[in-house]
Parts: sequence; structure tokens; C-alpha cells
Amino acid sequence: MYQYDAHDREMIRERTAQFRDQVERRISGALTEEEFKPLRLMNGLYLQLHAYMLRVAIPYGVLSANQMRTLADIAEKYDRGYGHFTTRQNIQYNWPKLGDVPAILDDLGAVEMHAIQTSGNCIRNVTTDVFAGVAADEAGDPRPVAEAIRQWSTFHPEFTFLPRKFKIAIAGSRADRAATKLHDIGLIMVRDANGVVGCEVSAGGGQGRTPMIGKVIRDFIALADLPPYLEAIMRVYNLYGRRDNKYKARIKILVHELGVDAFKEAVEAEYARIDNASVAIADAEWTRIASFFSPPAYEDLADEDLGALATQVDDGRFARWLTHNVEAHQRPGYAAAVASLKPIGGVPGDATDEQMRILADLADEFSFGELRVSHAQNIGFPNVPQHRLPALWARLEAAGLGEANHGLATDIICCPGLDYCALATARSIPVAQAISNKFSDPARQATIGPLPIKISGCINACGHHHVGAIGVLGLEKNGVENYQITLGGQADGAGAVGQVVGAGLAAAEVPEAIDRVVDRYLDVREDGETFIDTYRRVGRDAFKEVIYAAA
Amino acid sequence: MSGEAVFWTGADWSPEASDALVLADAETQQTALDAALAREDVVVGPYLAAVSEDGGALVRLRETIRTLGPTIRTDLGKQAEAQAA
Repeated sequence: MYQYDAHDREMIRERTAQFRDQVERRISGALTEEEFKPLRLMNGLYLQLHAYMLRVAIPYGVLSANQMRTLADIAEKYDRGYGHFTTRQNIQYNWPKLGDVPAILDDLGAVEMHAIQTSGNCIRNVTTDVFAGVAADEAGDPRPVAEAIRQWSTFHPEFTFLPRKFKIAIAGSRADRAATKLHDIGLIMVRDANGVVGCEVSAGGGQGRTPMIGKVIRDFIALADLPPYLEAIMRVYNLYGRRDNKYKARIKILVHELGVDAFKEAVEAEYARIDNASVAIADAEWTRIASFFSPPAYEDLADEDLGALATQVDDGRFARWLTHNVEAHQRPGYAAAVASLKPIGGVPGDATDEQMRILADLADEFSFGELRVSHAQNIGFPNVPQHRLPALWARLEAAGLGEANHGLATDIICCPGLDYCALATARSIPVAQAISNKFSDPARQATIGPLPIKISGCINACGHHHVGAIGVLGLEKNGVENYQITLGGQADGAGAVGQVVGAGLAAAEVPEAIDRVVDRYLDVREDGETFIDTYRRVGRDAFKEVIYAAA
Repeated sequence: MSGEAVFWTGADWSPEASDALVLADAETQQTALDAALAREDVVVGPYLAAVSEDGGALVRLRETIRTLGPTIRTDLGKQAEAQAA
């Protein structure tokens, strides 16, 4: 993992001291809320329905055991004993007091963490695949690239007052488990004809009220040239992005209005003007950054017979966990495992301080002290010896973290919604809970197979509903919560925005409607088809008719 | 400094929704809102929340949730403080 150097530590120290002073002046009244708001947003501090909310950055989702312990301590000491992991691999605290925030930032700083640029019109956390660096199908490791982008974008003076927020994602393989096509800039690591690793660059993706799939603007950029190329894109956006209308201010609108060819031309022209040497990562610095991501002290292990391993624990749940929650690893004898933060009927993505401490201990004992936060709001253990999976699962299960539902119907992505968020138009969590309970039977979930269900409590789509195979959008109609169903969305591959099926449903109708959709899929699917495969083949109407069939 | 919602009683700001002053006509509503907006050193983002004809209930679910806390965690927010009291 990246370790701060003296520069990094000093930057955080100064920033925290600066914010402490700003908070004091806010409390004393020397700063008005209007003056304070942009400052607190740049430090990840929101005002929501019940309290302030602090969004702490977890750069590209990589977390040490020690850092997780600090997150637990903060939850216990300054909050209400829990935290919420987000769709951008960060953590949110829902109950901090303004006066305590500088102390929280001090505690974070001590473990090389912060809340910088997790809000505001700036470049946000760069996100990636939960198993970056260990996944078996990667062209390259996204982590050092994400770290380089983080350093380039943090406190970048030219890009501190963008027209709107800016989100970058990077995937290590074309399987794209980082939803790169739904980001302002999406990067997919590829190798050129000579085997040199670089990135395919797409721009103008995004969700929210105008979902758009990002367009490829460059087939290949060498890693060393990535910062100047990103700089060129940012400059074009900064100059031409709309500032007159908040709802048209993202880069996706600019790419759409200019057209991808004109946009590409503008970027290439700017890139030609940039003095690469001044912005590109020097070889020595690249080597330094990459050195933090060298492999841990792997043992020489052989691949286990997972079928035999399944019998080691006399619990069908473990066999299912092995099937669904364990991913192939680059290293023989090792596995990447997902600890589900989606217990049946639970609040998706939440963890108590006690659970966080258990996860930290397990990371130390089973995974070289490293954890990952998935954009699907689960926790990953990236480096588990296969023969230790039974022991790991038993401990997770005891802590309520052992649900075998990774990628299945109850592994729901869900925003906080109207229960917490000042922007929301409807509650999202109770709907997720009801759907989770509806699909609780593990055998049924296994039969259904991969089924990404994603729920947002408003048009801002923080729950990624546009790219759910089944998406649910909570709106308000005549003062009552009303839920729009979308189908056929996809976050991976070429990406796809889900199609609205028809009029919205009442909350109570949603789980049943989804149940009927799933039944229809099971009825018409052909061998080997996942839900999304069948949807692509048979189309929306086959499903629309069962949603609106008389109950 | 907790960021919690507070309600105008006519004389000051209370954390209890039941203390809230109900204003029946547009003119007194606007006067009260203007006065609150002028004192953003005390509260941030004041707004008028619609209530039922008899003044008894908030119209929007959003405002009701604000007076209670998260519906999925009844151990948190104002609803929990009311329980504890």
C-alpha cells in the first residue's frame, strides 16, 4: 500500500489545521455558512437531514487493517457506532458534530487518511476493481495508476473550481468491474502490440438525471503520459464545461453537445500544447509509487480442490460462500474473498464498529493486513490462502458477515436515501430490505445466478440504479413514495443504461414485481443465460407485462 | 453544531417538532421565513414545511423523517432521544 512521505504528511497536517481554524471561525460566527459551505465540502463534510455527514476517502478502495481500526474507533467515539461504505469506495459517518470534525481529521491523519476532495466541484476519489492487483484477468495493476492520479489531482490548483464534480475510474481488465463507462473519465488498462501497458480512455460517462455511456476518445495512452493527457481533458472541460446550469455542468453534457469527434480534437490539441515533461510522471517517481504495490510475501502454494475444501466445514452456507464469494487469484493457492455487508434484510453497506474491528483482525490474520472496499459496498480480502478459507468464513459468519450472496439477488447496491439524505425523494433502504427478504432463499438465489439489483432514492443515482440489471428509482408522487423500475442496465463491458418499464409502483408492490420479473426470466431463459443475457435476447416487453399483470 | 433539524416556535428555535409554530397565511409565513433567513448565523437553510389543514401533521414524508430520524434505525435520531427522555 502507498505510504505517505514527509510531503504527504505535511499536506494533511496543514489542511487539517486550516480546516480546524475554519471550523472555529464558523462556530464563532466569523465565517457565514455561505463562506463556510464550499470549504467544508472540499473536506467532505455535508449537512443532511438529521446531522452533518462526513465522507472519508478510501483511495481506490484499499485499506490497511490499522486504518480500518481507526475507522471503527471514529465510529465509536464520534458517531453512533457504525459507518456506511459507498458506491465510490469511501466511508460515510452520519452523525458527527461540527466541533468534533477537526479531531476526527487528526485521528484520520495519524493513519494516513483524510476527507479531502470527497465532495465539491473537484476531482473525487479514483475508484477501481475491488480486486485490483490480484484479479486473474488483468492487463495491469490499476492501483499504482490510481495512486498516481490521486497525487496529480489532490490540491491541483487549476482544477479546484471545476464546473461540477469529477469522477474517474480505472479497471485492470476489459471485464471492467469498476463501471468505467459510467464515469467522467474511464480508464481500462490494456497492452499495446509490443506488450507495453497503457490505458484506453473514455470520457463523458455518468448517471444522475441524464445517464450516458462514456465514449472512447483514445485507444491507448502510455501510463507515463497519462497525467498530461488527463490534464488536457480537464483543461477542455474546465474551459468549455457549462457553468450556467448545475444540471448541465458535467463533462458528459459537454461531450454530448460537442460530439465525441470535436471533443477528441479539442483534447488532442490541448495535449499537443502541454509540456509533457512538466506533468508526466518521472520514471523515478513511477518506480517509487509502484514499489508500494509489489506483491506481499506469498508462500509457494498449490491450488486446492475447492470441492474438497467445501466439505471441511459442515455447513452448506460455506459451500455456497466458496461458490459465490471467492474469486480467482493471480497467484496459485490464493484467493480473493468477499465479506458481504448485505445480510438478509439488513442495511446494505453498513458495518458496526465491532464488525470493522473484526474485519481488521481478519485482514491481519488472513490477508497480509489489507482490505478492500468494493463499489458494490462489500469488503474484500485480496490475498487469502485457499486452505485458510474455511477458517476465514467461520469467523466472518460469526460476525454476521458471512452471507454467501456476492453478485446475487440480495447483494443489492443501495444509497442511503430519504432515511438520511437531504437530496432524496424516497426511501431506498426499506425497499432493499424487502427485496432482500423476498429473495432470502439461498438455493433460489443460486438458481437465479448473477442479478445486480441497484436502488437509488432520487434522480442523482448514487445507488447506480441506471446500471442495475434491475434498477429501482424512488420518486415522490403526490407526496407519496413511488418507485420506477428499470431493466437491462449494465455496469460492465460496453455498459448499458436500463430501460424504464412503465408507471411507478408503490413501495409494497416492488418486491413482488421483481419476483415476477425473475420468474419470467427463469421460465424463458436458455441454457447458460444470466438474467442480462435473457433480457438482451427477449427484450423489455416480456418482463413489462408481468410487472403490470393484475395482482 | 450537531446539524440537527430545529423548529421555529415563534420566539426561538427548538429541537422538538411539537414546539413548531404553525403559520396559517402566506404573509405571516413569508415574514417568519425572511426573519429566519436574515439570521443564518443561528440556523442554516430555514424553509417552510407544509402541514395539514388542522396543523397537526407534516405533509411531506421528508419532513416527518426529519422530526423522527431514520425509519430503518429507530434507535437513532430524535425518535430515540424522545424514547430516552
